Amino acid sequence: MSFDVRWLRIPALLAAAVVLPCCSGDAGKGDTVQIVTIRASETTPGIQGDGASGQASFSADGRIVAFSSSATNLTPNDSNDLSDIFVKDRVTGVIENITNVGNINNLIMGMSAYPSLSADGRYVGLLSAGMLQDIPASSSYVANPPVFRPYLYDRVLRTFVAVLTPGFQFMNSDTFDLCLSADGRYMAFSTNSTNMTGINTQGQVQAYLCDFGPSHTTPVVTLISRASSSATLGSNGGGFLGPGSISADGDLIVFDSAGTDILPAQDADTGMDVYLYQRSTGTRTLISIASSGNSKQSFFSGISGDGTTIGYIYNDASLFPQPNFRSCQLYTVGTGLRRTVSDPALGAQANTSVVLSGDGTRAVYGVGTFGQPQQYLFIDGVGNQLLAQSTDGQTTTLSTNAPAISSDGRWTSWSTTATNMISHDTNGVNDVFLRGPF
Amino acid sequence: MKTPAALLLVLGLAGVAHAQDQQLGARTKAMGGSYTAFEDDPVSVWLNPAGIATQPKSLAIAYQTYVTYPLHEVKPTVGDATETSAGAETVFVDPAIVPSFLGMVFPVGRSDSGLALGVCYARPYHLNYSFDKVTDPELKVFTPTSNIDQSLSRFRVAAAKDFRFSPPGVAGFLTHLSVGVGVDVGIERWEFKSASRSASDTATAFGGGAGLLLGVYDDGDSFRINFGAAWQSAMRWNFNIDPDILPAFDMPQQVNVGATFYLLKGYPLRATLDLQWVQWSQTADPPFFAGRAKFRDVLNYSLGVEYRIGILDDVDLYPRLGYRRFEAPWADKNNLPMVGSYQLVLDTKGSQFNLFTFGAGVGWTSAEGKGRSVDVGADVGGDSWTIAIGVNYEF
Repeated sequence: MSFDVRWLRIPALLAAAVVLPCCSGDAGKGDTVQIVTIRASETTPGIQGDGASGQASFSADGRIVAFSSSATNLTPNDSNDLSDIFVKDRVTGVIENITNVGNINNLIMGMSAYPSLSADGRYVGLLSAGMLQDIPASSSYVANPPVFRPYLYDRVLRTFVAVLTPGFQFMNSDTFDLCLSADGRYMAFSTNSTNMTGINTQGQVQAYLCDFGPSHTTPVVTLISRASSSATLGSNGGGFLGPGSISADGDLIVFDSAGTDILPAQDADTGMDVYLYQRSTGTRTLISIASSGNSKQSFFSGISGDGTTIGYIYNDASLFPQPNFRSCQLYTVGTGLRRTVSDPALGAQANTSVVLSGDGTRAVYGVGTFGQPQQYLFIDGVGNQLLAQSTDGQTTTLSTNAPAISSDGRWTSWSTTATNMISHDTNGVNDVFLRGPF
Repeated sequence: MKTPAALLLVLGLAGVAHAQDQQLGARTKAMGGSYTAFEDDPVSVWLNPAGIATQPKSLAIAYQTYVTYPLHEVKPTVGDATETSAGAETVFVDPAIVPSFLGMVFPVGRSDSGLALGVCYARPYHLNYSFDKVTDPELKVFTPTSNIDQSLSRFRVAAAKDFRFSPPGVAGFLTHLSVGVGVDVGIERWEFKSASRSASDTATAFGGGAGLLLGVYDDGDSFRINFGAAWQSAMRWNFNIDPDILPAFDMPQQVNVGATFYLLKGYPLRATLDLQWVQWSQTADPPFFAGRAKFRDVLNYSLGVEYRIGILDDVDLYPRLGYRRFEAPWADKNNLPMVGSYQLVLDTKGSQFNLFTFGAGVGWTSAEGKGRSVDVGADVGGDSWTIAIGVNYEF
């Protein structure tokens, strides 16, 4: 039994010629990415909004994102031609337009802005110039000129609760910012309304806290940026809030004020400083270094959900390291430790607020030329990184604003008119972008 | 003559077609896809080129269906928004005149030389998958919005040589060994469709295959065992398009091993057993987002039986049955793979299937002593049923 082994040579050579190149493999032409930049202000099939969008807010895990938009094509039947509040479930891709209520049941639609979500995304705090709740106080509602007033919306019951003055009237002047506690019960906001009878009628922008009660339906408003000498007198330096100014449990609120009368023994100058208000005790604490003339100021503050960390922009007008050098600082509640987290080479921008993750280990703040900030993310133990970039690393010189970060710190947001953050942005208007997961 | 009628029936059916399981040929389909140790069917040019070494000059042609998941608009369940689905369908290839397999075997030299050449056209895969283009890694609810239709074909030239270690009919172990190789030119056509994009193109690539077939034992009367092993190379297409915007697939590498048992006096009963490994994991782009499922390699096995029943002097009937445990290239039907930034979206019953296969063939001998047969095969138990019809013609 034998065979001619020469017959094996040909198939062996042929097999080798085929096997070697075929097994080298070049599959996987794409790259798996860890962090992406996406646009929130578009439908799941990628249809971009036909109007400007901005001011995002996350649920705790980043699944739900709310934003304002004047687009009419993000949801069906949006014909009110107004800026509305949209809530997007990123898991299902479903977008709700919660302020497109129609002119029924005596409700009046109006421009809406500044949404703030509870941790589970059920409650949405927002500002609206419409009358979204049919209440006896409706007689005090004036549509023109439009005035932005705070509301709390329940996405389960689909009901709005208006924040009224102690006299159950609609506020007579604008509300500027608001933020919501994790359970949606507490809302901090600032307004210069003059009909807050019994609380404050000065008209200067002041910071307030609204407790909607356990049922989320019985709002009671408290002035928090008050002068120490009076429970109903707003500070002479006002009170200003950012989008992340309240702790998760609603017990701690940070606000900025140039007042000399809040804690005059500690801060008697007119420079802007950061204060911490504790609801449970009614106390106020100076957080930033006391101002000294105009040389040192702190502002655009935010607090972590757990209340352990406060972030703000710190401006040093002295000559070192340079005049009006700004930095982002984090303050540890309890220890009083302050540390600069922004890159000294880049400084920090002072026209967007500092927002923090729930545990305070991550902060988003603006960097760059005044008026054209770029949003940066600081991660404790890692450092700083530019947020405003596309998935493949394209950046923009255009302004990026309205930062937000989810409580778990995985997702961030900003808005910009830049068209190179994603591949299919051709609408030429402000859009809401998300970047993560970090 | 049944052949023309059968062909006309097949040619009358048209449609797009696709699948992810390779069982070329009506006879192999009816026997669960067990084929690696065959040595009497020209389909072996593709399945295991070693199997052609001792075959006569013959031709085989086969038409068969594929399981597809095309994109359809459906009546909306809520409101008037457009809704889509991607359920499994059984379809023939398009154009229907193109067979799934067409091959010929040519013995070289003397009739006992044990050397043969083979040529074939084979379309083992025709993929049609629907996808959702995903930009948000948090998205978990998907809607099919785009579709890729890919026809993966190969032209093969094969050569095989049989080495006899003992004369035919003499009982003993290790009776003979056949080895075969094939060199392939692959042709692939893809067509991508979505609401905003429609594109198509073709690509070519080179590959090959090799196999062996070993006569393990033959008692010369009523019991014989053959062992076969075959390898098909992958084919890496150059799609000439940004891979980030096209969820296209290469052709997978695969390895088959199997055994055929010839039983009873005169060997009227044949039983087959096969294992098949298919490397789907290397055929597509990895998921764009970390943590998403990707295509997996699969291991299939199959059993088949065929029994020869003489119904006329020169005519035999071959009833066939089989079982095939078939793994889909996804591990979890609720967590389907992502290809680049495209999430696979289709209605599938699961990630592994128990296919029951069946069929029959009629074989006869011409006045010149040439063998002819017409075979049909089918399977049920997958996402959709499939059928195949084939003709073998010795000339």
